[in-house]
Amino acid sequence: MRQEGLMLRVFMVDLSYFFRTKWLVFTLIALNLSDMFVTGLVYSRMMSFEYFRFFVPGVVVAGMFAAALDVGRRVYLGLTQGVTQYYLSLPIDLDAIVLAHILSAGVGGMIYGGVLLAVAMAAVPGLASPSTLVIVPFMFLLSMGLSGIAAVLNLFSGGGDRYWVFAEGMQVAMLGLSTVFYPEQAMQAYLPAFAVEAVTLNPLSQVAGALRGVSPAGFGASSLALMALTSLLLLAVGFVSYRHVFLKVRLLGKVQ
Amino acid sequence: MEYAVESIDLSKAYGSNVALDGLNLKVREGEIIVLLGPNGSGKTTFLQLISTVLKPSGGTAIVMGHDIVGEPLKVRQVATISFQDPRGFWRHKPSHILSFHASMYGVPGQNRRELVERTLKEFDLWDSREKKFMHLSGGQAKRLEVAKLFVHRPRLAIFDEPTTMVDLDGKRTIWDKIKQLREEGSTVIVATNEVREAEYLADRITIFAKGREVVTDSLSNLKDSVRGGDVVDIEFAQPVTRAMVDELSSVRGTAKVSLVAEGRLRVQVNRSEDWLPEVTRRVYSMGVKLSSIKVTEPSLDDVFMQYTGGGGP
Repeated sequence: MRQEGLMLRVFMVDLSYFFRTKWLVFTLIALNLSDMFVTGLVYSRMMSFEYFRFFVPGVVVAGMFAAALDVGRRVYLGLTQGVTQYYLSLPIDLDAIVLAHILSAGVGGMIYGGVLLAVAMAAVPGLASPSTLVIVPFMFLLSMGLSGIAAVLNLFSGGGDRYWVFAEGMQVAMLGLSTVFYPEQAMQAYLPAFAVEAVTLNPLSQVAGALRGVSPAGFGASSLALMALTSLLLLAVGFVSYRHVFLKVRLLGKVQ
Repeated sequence: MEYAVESIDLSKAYGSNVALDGLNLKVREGEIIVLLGPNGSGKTTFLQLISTVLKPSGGTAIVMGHDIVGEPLKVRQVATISFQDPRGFWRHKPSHILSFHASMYGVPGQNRRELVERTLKEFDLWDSREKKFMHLSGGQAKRLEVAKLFVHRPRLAIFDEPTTMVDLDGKRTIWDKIKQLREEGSTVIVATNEVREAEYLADRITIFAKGREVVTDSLSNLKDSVRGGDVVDIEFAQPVTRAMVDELSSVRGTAKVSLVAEGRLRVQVNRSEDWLPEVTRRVYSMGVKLSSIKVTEPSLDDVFMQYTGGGGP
């Protein structure tokens, strides 16, 4: 059987894991939507609509980020429950296993972020344009890239419980040092120059910025190109990291 | 002769801990070979190396004509391992797990459903088909792990302790299915701690100790190789005399002669089938009458003790 077909089967299993953890998905949706609506409704008297317009794309990005990063949790479970060794015993190439995980992170992030985007398009008039949908394939690409961050976490946590600590820390750092919830001007006012540089380079800032900058004519080509470039870079890091994790399992029988 | 598996100085070390130490083992095509050894003797490491789950530190093995180092993908296409600890997708049902496994080995979709249903029934998992893997009992999960190999029937089937956690009925079912697999043309390697399992399944037995192969042979040859392993109880129609003891002691193959009662001797011999005709001839020529002879063969435990110096399988 061809390796592409086998990769597709591993991809399907991995993706189904995300959607089978229904309480996790439910909690994520509840958190993301409550962020969106609570900000919009409860605090409407304290904040302007402009902030709501700013905030909602941020929630879409945060949701997509969480969904894309979930592949790290699934790989962590695979490592601790022996599923990774099972994959390694099957007639599938190591690279195909790695690609299957990355692909499922991309599709998971795109589906999840896409659903939030649909809600956002209904809630924010400026987003309610068909041209907004142009970003969906870029969300797929970026989600695959973000799985690279999860891969690095898997690599350095050694498959142990430290993964959760690292993942939480990474989420806080990535969301905190971005323009997902705070405008760049606020960052410039409070953070040192190197941190502001990190905020600008942060892929989450890029996608949030692109969503906020969308007009009926569509997205700026340069912002999409930058997002694609960053995604491909992260994707390469992710590919190498996951490859390293699985090779380590083949060498040591475990990650550590 | 073509071998299904031929390991050449195969080694695996984790830092300073040597799990497998230059193993040279040949598995014949179409046989069931059982690896018997204490915990930590290297059985599981060997199985994971020849199924390419692990990478060797030194040496190699040829599995069905393919090198485990140079052609791991080709090896995995012909050899499949059933792990010691069940490996399954925690949130999936047994039917999905078997179906996925079959699909990875190219079993066509139209046959898969029927095959999976039949396998679930054969392994007594049909009633648990709606349970998620994480809700299966230890025995059920283990049966599912073993059942995976029966949905695609690999040329080389590797079982690591296939009946741990499984009840007596389940054990017998698994053993019969493994024998059936061999009859249908597969070569089978089984690692176990259970002497009874080895006795039931093995065409040949390899005893492992401390990462090395100690001996490989058929069960009967291994039993014969135990020095003084056959125990012969002889009852005479008259009291035993010193001359009778001396005569029996001088027969080739006698290891030890003990007086059990006035007219009874217990003799430990190497091979009772060679020893008995000579003894009956000599006793007859001495004019002594025999009342009864009882022969007890050594157990596989005795074999194991002789070759490993204890420790127990």
